[in-house]
Amino acid sequence: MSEFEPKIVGFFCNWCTFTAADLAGTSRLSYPHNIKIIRMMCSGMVDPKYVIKAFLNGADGVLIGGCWPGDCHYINGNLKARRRVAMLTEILKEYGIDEKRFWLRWIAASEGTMLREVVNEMTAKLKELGPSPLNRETPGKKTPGNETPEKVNPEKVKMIG
Amino acid sequence: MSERIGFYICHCGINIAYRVRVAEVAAYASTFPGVVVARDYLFMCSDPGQELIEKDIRNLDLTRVVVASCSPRMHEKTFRAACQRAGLNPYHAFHMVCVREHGSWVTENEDEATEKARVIVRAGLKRVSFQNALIPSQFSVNSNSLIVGGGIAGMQAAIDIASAGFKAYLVEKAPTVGGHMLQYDKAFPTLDCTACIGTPKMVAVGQDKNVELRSYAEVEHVSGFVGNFKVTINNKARYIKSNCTGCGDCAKVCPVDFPNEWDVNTKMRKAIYLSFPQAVPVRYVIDKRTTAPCRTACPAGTNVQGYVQMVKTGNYQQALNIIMERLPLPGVLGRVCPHPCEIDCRRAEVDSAVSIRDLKRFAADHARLEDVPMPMVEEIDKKIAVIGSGPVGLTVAYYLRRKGFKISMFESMEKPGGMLRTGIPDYRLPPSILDQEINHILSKGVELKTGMALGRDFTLASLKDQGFDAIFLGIGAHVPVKMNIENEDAEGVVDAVWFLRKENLERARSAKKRVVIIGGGNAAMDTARVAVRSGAESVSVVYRRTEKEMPADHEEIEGAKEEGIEFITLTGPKKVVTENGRVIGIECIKNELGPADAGGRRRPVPIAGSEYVIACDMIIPAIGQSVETAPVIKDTPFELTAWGTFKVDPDTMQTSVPGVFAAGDAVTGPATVVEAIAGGHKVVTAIERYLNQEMDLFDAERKQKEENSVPEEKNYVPIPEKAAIVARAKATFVEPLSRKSTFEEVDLGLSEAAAQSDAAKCLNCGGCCECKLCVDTCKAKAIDHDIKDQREIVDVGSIIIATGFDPLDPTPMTQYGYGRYANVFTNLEFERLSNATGPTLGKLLKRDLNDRMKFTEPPKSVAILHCIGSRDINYHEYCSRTCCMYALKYAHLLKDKCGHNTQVYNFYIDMRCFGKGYEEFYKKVQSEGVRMIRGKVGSIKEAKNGMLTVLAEDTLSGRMVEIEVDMAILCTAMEPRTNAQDVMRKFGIGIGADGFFQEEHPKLAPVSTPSSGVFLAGACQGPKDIPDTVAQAKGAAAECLALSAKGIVEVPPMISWIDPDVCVGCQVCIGLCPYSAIEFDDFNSISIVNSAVCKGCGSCAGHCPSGAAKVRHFTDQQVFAEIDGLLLN
Amino acid sequence: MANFTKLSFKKGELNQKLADLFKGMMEKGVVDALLAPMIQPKRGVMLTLVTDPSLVGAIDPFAPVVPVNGARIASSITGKPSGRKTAMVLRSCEIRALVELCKLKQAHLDDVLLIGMDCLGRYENLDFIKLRAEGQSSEAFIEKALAGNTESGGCDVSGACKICEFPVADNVDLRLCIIGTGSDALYIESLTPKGDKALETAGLGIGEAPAGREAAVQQLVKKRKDACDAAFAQYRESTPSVDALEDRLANCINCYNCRVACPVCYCKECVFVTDTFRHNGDQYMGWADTFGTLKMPTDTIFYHLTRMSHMSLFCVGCGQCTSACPNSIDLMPMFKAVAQKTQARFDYQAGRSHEEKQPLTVFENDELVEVTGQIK
Repeated sequence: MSEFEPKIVGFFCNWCTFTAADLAGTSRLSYPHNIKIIRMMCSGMVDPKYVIKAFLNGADGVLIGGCWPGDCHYINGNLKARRRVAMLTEILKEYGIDEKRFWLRWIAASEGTMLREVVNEMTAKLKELGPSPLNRETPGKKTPGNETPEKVNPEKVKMIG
Repeated sequence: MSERIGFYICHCGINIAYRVRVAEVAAYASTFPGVVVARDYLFMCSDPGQELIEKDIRNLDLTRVVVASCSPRMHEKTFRAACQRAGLNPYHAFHMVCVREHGSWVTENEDEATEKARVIVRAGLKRVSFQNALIPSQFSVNSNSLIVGGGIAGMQAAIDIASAGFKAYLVEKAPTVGGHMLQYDKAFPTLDCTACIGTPKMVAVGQDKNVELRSYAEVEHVSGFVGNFKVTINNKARYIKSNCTGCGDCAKVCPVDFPNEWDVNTKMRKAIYLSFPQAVPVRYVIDKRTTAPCRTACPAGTNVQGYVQMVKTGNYQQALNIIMERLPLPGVLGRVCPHPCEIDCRRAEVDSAVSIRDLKRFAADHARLEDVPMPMVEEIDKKIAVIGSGPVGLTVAYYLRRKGFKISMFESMEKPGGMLRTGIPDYRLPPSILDQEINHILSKGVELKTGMALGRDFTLASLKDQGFDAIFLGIGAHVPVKMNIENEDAEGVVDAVWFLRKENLERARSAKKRVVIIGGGNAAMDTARVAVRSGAESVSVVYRRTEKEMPADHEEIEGAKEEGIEFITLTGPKKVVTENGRVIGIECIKNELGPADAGGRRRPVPIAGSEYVIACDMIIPAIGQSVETAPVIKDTPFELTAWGTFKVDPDTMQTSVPGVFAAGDAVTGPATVVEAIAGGHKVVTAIERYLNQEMDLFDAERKQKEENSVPEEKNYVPIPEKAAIVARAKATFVEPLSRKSTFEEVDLGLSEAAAQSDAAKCLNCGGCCECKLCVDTCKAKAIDHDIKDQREIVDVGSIIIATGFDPLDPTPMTQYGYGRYANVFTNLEFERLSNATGPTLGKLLKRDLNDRMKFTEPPKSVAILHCIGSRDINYHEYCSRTCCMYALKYAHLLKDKCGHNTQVYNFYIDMRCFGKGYEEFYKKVQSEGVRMIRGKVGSIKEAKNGMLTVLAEDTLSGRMVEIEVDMAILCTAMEPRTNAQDVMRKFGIGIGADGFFQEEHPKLAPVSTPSSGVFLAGACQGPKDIPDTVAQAKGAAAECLALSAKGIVEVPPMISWIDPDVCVGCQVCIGLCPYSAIEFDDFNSISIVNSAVCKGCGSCAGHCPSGAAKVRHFTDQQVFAEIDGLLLN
Repeated sequence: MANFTKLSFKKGELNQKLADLFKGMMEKGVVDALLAPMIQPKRGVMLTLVTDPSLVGAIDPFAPVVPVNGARIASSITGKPSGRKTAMVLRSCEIRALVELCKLKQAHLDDVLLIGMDCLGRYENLDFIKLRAEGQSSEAFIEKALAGNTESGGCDVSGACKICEFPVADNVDLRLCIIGTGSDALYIESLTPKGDKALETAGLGIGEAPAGREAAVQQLVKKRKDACDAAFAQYRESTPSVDALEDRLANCINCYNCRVACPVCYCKECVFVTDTFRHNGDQYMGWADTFGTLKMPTDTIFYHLTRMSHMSLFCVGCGQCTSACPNSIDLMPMFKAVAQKTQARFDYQAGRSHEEKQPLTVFENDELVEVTGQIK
């Protein structure tokens, strides 16, 4: 049985953390594939219910990435995000969703290396913690994140016209 | 109709395909509900790639398109355009998935990369079906542009924009445009002089009617959005109007010198200056800082710095004129002022405070009162009665007279002067001086009536009857305070007030043999020293605390001791011992110091049983005076304070009786002369306003004071590190022995040399000293010292940031000894040497070892050190890109200007001659016999004779080399400006890892930033040489022109809106919106988004619990679908 | 300083006394209207709005029942104010909720004379009707409850009331006090100038506080606190995980009654009934594919967790959610336990004061650094 591969959903602000992810790419800084990024315009746009939804869908961790306080492209969206995260953490904790699974981090556009470190750190942490209590696909079923893809013959690709 | 989705995954050559099995992902996508075509292609962004999509849209009537390739920040626009060309609304139809930056480039093996691609592609496919058609809103573009920074980049951009017929605001924080390029001498590789190619640009931006030049100005605030920015510019006060001709007469008379920033401090400039001869605008500027501490410390607000500078330059008359602006009795104060100014003097941080008081006296003694100009004013037909001719009375009289009022001064004694005459002994203040200065005041048309006492010879009522419009009470405090001890009235007990008056006015010689003075203030010292002079054999001063607590001036205490006066401290009087009614001694009690009182001085506590008697035949209490109000209040009911002084409004100095003002000791109780004068000035303002019915001005001022109560931080001129230690000038004093017997003046004042050298110590904390000589000398009448900063708001459609770079300061790299060794130069200093307008007028000379501002002879050997702070992990990892080339230029210039046999050594790491003609230039310079040594210098050592030993490793031969040179030049790195962070925030742009501003894309968008409408030009985006800078500036200008020419701009439609049917009107979103883009509709009690202002940050949507507030293109459904896609099959 | 008016009454005359009081107030023009619990002609006791002084006879404020949290009623009356002076007789839980609704601009108290009443708890509506049928009077309940016994004929007051730490209402103009006042007297306490004026115009004198009150209130609060802590401990033990939460919510049918009954759920339309949650077939199938089986209706846990994120900061623990659930899910502890945590995180307490800003409506530059744990 291959080792547990946590599923991390990242909500990244377009101006800082998403750009940092691009930078990590152009600088070829490889990091665990476990994180999948959703592009947001600002961390202050992340509605708590997106996070809840992610966990209910079986995410093992959620990472919100925003600009450092003072650097927000929208002046202070990140500060609002921080309050919401604090509030939501309390709710999730109350029902056994460890706060170690729900991160908010400031990662500036220039901090590609920091992005990599954060993802490394979080992935490792989640591997320790094991699957989220809500990560429960039926056993044996192919599930995203840890399925081994079968090779496909390009001929099979649907072509019309 | 069900969705028909087309999916396309890009190989990006091999960038994606080398990790992601693209065909497999396409195959996976093809199985996805709604996907009718799934293809992989070598370069989706290429024309054929885009055509492929467009064809499919038409032939297969696709409704949605998902492209998996690079980051959407790169090609989202490209593919949206393709969809649009094929007739789809791009926001409805298109979504982009990033499988390169977030995929192939950051994963380590095919399986992981492919798997990650499958998952995020699935998310994209799920999301796209929930997207809605959006129409970008269009706004008109203001065709003006703002350019921040007047260096070559800014100037070029401004010229290009102007030449296209649009207006450019060019904001430069220095007094002149030009920037670093104009500080340089010649520009590599062509060696054309930068002035020759730069000054025409400067002139152009100065003259072009389309360029609004704002020099000596800074952008304070920016609001709005692309096409419609509002910019607040602060035009700092230059104090010179635009009609300045640049003739420079003002600088000739300006006494204040500072190092010139433009010449990187290799040369001095005046406080009123032009950065360099070709400066644009050709308009001088005055360097004013926070008002000097000496001036603020002076109760009367005398412009100390001003007259000190005048003494320095030997212009004693102007010094006196300046003093007379605030002090009507310069000679008096030059002698008796306790000089609080000297306490605050910052020179003390170097060695000792400037001897300000003595300088004042020197000026007074060496200039003519008659030549002090009176302002040209009309006689005003208003009569003012000034009662009392002490310092305060004289102040009120003189300055009101200067304003043209008619003044009558009433004095109860025979001669004017009040305490100055009766209280201060002649050896401190010769009567001749006092008379001379009082007569000067009277000579200006002040009528004096002596022997007229208020309450005895006249009353306020009688004055009113005589038609006086305002009355001033300056009757002082002449009534002795009693000791309240036994036998106080015995014969032989005389109070200091009476004793001094008798001695001063009549030379009574009334002192007995053994005199005891009670008290520790200046009055006590005066009394004691007068007692000595009037024949006493022994004089003792009895004081209840220790000498440290004595309020008297230090000089006075010392003077008294020199004259053999005995100090009996920690002792208090208990009773006067008498024998048949005459004093034979005083019984005293010893004290010890107890806890501090309210004033912070430790309270004396009597020691029980320590009583003892001091034999004496005269006792002179000098413990203070009070005001004699009785005769005054008997016919006018004035309100008094608890201390029996007149009660006045602290600002207007008006008493409880309207139209009657008071100040001086009569209000404050016994105080210093300068404090009295300070009060006098308040009265002058008040009476003038009173007579003009302008008293309400005071309320306005009070209000203003409350409003801006925050103390502004002080920007005094910094204290120079290498200031030489100069001993404090000492006045000469008459020998104690010879002076004890006479009333002749003791203090003989300073010699001219001493005065001037002491004045030269002044650091000019306030910058300009406001001697105003410049004002008189300016023929154009262009100088106005009262000009204030002026803020203006301009509307622009686009912005170019061209703020340039800072040169690295090598001082911290101690191994090179920069700052310590005279002949270690930075590149910029060397440029100034070589520049014809620099300190040496273009000659390359060594520095004098003892005087850094002096330059001696050409160097015979020079070491040029490359990469100082560049390519160095301890400073900057990046290469500054210009050093190699200007280093070669220096080598050439040295050979050229100092002779061919000058030895020049280049210590380099790698030569980077990448530009057009650069490599050729390298060859040329090498052929001139310049030594190139590949290796970084480890250290520089200076020998006694100033020779420098450079130690380095020659990495080619692998040997250490040690070379003696006369001069070393450090080729320092280009650094981001220190204020880059503020600029970043002000304009909403980003900063890269290297600290320079981040362009939107390193290759495809090198001049644009994440904030649309804001562009970058020049070294603020990264180290650049002149050609690259100019090229980028032209690029940025083109971006602005594109906006202006089109006239309309499309703003991305991803902004918020609030569903009116769902909004419940809680208005929380209004509080959260950073742009105040949400308004409340009272009638329907719902919140409404102003789409022109909203930037789509989603602060509202992120909170709104009912989901009424949404961000278009980031709706719950779209995000949920993406989340599902990432996590579900 | 004390500001009390004593209102003595003979057994069985409490409501009469109160009726006279309010009649007087309305006749003297202290207020134009009265909103208070009144005995209904058919059955039960409900908040009733009266504008005619002669019709206040049916008033019965201390009836141990709250069919609807009055904050909602107050909100509907003052949300768009009528401008008419209205006295509102409400309990602590109603007033605390009302305070939050005011912050959310859903209610306005400018024209309201807010009258709080000591609350000893409420029965579920049907239980109350049963007890009334059996002849239990409000006075009888008060007497029993003050003696510490609320159980009666197999019914007891709601779980929320048993652990409510706020038997006495704050942020009111007047207070009807029955705790520690002796069985034959009710005290009216005035807490604001508005209240003073009301008493004055109503011609009521001002006197000292009833001797025993302070202590009696403290004792009751203490009792409730302990009960609350115990209940939370027990609840957290029983519901430590999402698993347990799902178990607790096993029978939730997305009827949203809990939301309708919640006084601080103020949205016009809940996001969970908007299109956002109208999924299409593919989505249902997708979930089924992933999880093997998919319990319908979906989004129940999602709904409750999201609701917590929306209202837990305002939750006053009135327990209307529990009362409203058709499947007898005891929701109150679920929300109140979370509320305790979220409110504590921001040192906030729903309904404590009009001045405290709701935590998600404000923010500081340097705060909550522990959230990211990063220092630049």
